[in-house]
Amino acid sequence: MSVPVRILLLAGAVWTFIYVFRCIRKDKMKDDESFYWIISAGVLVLLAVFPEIITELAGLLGVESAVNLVFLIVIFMLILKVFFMDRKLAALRHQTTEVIEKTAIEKLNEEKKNKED
Amino acid sequence: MKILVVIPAYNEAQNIVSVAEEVKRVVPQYDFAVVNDGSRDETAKLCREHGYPLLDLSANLGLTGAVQTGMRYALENGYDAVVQIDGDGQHDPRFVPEMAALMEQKGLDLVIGSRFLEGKRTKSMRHFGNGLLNRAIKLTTGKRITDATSGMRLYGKRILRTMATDRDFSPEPDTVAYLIRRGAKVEEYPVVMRERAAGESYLSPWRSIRYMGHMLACIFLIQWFRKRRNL
Repeated sequence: MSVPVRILLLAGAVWTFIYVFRCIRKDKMKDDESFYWIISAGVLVLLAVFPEIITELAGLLGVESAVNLVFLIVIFMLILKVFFMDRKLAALRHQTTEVIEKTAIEKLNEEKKNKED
Repeated sequence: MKILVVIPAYNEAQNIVSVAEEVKRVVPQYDFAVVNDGSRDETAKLCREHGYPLLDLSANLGLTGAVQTGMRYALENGYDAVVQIDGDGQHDPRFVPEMAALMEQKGLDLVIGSRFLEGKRTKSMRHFGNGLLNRAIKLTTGKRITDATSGMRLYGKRILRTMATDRDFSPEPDTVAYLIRRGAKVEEYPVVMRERAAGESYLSPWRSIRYMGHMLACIFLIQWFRKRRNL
């Protein structure tokens, strides 16, 4: 992995760290929500500081250019993130649906009760 | 049999009053409720003015959410069956008592109002899609259905709870297939439908294609992976 790529990785990771910790401090992000970003930034730092890990691994897997393996890892992490976000989104949608349905029913039940009184 | 007529309506200000009045006039023995699916027009206002029982959804949930709300309400209020009469005026409520009689007589869980059980088939893209879904149901369940896409369905007590609370049970053809496979007793009853009275249909060509793809994927693939549950 070339030095510029390593610097880029490191800069990206450091920037992510700073941003995430600022969010936590300002209470814009809960601890468990920041977990993913801290871990992934940590992985990038690790790869930038110890490029031997990636070169070794690339040799083992038969990936010609070490930097391609970095891309592969990042893509994999992103796909995972999208998958879990999609699941979360579905769960949220179902919760909203239920709230909307139940409010409508309660409103009608109340109206009926008022009519009877 | 205590039946609730559920009228899902999305931007149906032009039709809703005549549809509700027809239900009141033709089947006064049944209760009804309009489900306003977050309409942006005067649908809700008109219902309140006329004093119709209104389930007013604060956001647009789509047909599934609207019908499910009606079923939830029916379940909580001790109804034995729910029939869907669309807010656009295409379903004629005079068939409901006959559908209910068939349900009681044969102990059915679902009665589908079919346009094609007796009527002649016309050739159009819509009917082609319908035929494709009928064949998909026949292939996967062995049951002959002539009008899978008909929205005019009478849901019986045994399936009401699942229909009301389980998101996988949308009022769509894939659910018909799934119900049959789960052992629900399903029959059709011949009905005549009208064209929507006023306004625009929800189904654009692109939507129709997506709908077909979604339905076929559900019937042929996704349903087989679902957790087995009792009705």
